[in-house]
Amino acid sequence: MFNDEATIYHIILAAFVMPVLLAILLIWFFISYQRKKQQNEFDRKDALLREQALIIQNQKVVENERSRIASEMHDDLGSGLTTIRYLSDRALKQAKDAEEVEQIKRIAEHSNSLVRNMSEIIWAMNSRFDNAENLVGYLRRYASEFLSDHQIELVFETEDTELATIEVGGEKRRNLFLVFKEVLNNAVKYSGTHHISIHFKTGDQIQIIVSEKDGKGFKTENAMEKGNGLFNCEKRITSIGGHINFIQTGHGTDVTFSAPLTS
Amino acid sequence: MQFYKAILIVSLAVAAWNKNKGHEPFPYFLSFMAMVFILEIPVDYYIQKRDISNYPLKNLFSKLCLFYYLFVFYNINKKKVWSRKLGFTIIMFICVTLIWQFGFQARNTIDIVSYNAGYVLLIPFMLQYLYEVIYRYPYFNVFIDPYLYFIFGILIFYTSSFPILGFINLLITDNPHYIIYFDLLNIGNIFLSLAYFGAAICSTTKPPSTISS
Repeated sequence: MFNDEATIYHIILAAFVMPVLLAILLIWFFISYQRKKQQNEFDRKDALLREQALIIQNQKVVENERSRIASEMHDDLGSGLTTIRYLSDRALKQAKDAEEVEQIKRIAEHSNSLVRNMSEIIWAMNSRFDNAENLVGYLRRYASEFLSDHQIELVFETEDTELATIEVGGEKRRNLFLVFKEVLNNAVKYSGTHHISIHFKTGDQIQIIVSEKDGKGFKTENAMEKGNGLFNCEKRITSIGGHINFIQTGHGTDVTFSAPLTS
Repeated sequence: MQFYKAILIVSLAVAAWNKNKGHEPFPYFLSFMAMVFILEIPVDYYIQKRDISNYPLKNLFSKLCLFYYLFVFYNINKKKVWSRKLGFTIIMFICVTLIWQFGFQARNTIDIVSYNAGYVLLIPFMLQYLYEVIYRYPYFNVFIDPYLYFIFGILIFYTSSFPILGFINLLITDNPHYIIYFDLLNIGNIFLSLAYFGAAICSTTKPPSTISS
């Protein structure tokens, strides 16, 4: 058996030196790994910021394009349609027989309808109007004109004061307006009411409540048989993540429809 | 029972459980753990009971472990351009060590030649892994990579045991206190069995799509 104390001494020395070397290696590894992790975190946040900036930039581009198209439609098509309406009104005054009058009236009605529809599309497309204040104003104006044509009294209430700060996109505004239009149309057609109140609320969602004050209401099943109006209402409100409810009260039908404010 | 053997039993159980679920940190890991378990516990117990020299068993066992470690490191590098040369080198090493074991190795001594050569061969692979984690591969959570625990366990085991096992034949003397060296080896064995346990546990998590795939 070999018994060299010097060799044993060197072996034992190695037994201490090697773990020290290993410890240095492990410390180097963990420090380098931590640095790499921090760099990765930094790169990830940087990439996220860039992505967000790109999204915002793209949104601005889309909004600018929407406004441009809305403006051009208003300028080019709007003026043309208005001219058609004006000319048809003049032709109506100069019409000689009943059939001619009837045809010119139809032209005038179609052009009026086109002007209204286009106006609604331009309103929905224009990103300048992407807020709740504008939506409320538009609904109020429409309801006021439509119901006054049918001698129905309107009460329009809104609870919130900072509507201008609440963002509502074009698609949402258009769908809410079309549902609102259909609900008023049905109330006028079927309920026989002379008083309608409209309540507009915001919070986590936009909520619009159309209440008949002295009507007989309408059965949704009957309305569905008569046309696709209510079916389209449900489809539109669902497409923007919202809900619609019909509640028969003692004085008519209360229609509540809502849409979330965040997409 | 020595503490590291208890860890081995738990590691085997975890490896078997994960294999049943279709997870394995490295190819043939369960087979390797089964081999380690059988040789370290029942066979070792039988040999001690019969008062037979366990040197041949330990020599064979250390070689089998070494071969598996080399296979694992080959697995890490199998997609590299030089993987075929690596595979050839490993096969040559296996052949040479087996020839040495059965042809030249004295019966009642520890085969420090294969042990030292294997350690020298393993070090570059372990350093390669650590280097590539930091400088080559994109960032990933290395603490769920089974290779990390495997490599750390082997590094600690070999670093702590090399001065003893590498020169064991010189250290064994008439002085009965040489037994302490084998007690010190058990500390390294604990880290090695913890390495197996860490690798077995990590196979339950999705491995990073870099080194381990």
